[in-house]
Amino acid sequence: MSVTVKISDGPLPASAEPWSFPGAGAVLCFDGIVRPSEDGRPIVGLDYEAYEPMATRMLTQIAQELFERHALLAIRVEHSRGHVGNGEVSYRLRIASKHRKEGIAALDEFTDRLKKDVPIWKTARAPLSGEGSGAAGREGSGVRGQGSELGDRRE
Amino acid sequence: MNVSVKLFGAEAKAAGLREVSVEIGETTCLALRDELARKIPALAPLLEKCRFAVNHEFVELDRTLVASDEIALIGMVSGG
Repeated sequence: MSVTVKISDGPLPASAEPWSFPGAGAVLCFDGIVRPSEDGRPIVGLDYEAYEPMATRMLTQIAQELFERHALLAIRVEHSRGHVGNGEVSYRLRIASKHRKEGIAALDEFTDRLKKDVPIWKTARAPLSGEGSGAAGREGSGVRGQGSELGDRRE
Repeated sequence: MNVSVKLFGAEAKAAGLREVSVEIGETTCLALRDELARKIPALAPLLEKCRFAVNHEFVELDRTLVASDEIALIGMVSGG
């Protein structure tokens, strides 16, 4: 089983490095890219927050579950933390499988699980001019955060 | 027993806090949820859709807590 999970600060490299896996008949790469606007309102990017080490643990657990269910050969997942500007990559999932169908199914399922179970949150950042608001999304999904920053108060 | 609960995303924003200290009588997540709603009314409407994570794993509401547990309130996530 080959599973690699990485959460790193800032945007991911614009292009994935070449990757292959012995025996693979299909190597898939999905890049999640921050959109420049949502509902017609411009944003400069998204600020990601991850609850670690739970986020890494959940990503690994999901990868292991899908690995067995879809008979995969390898999974590599990377996710950003902190600010990612619009047009930049915040999520990259790479899957190697013997055949196309199981790889595509696993890619879709993994991303669905990520959006349901992995403790990562995003907050839209509006332009400094005040144009737009704090609602933005990725891949057509809504974002529940608002543009204003939270303080770090503790009670 | 006094416990600390980490907050994120919409819940942190609603509470205006990243972490909250809560005194609970019954040491279950259900009792903790009720106390959070009482202590921070702004959180109450969000709690129904939240889960608790204890020591970095999702748990059910009947989970018994101990003072050394790391507790996080996990609302709707938005990664990807």
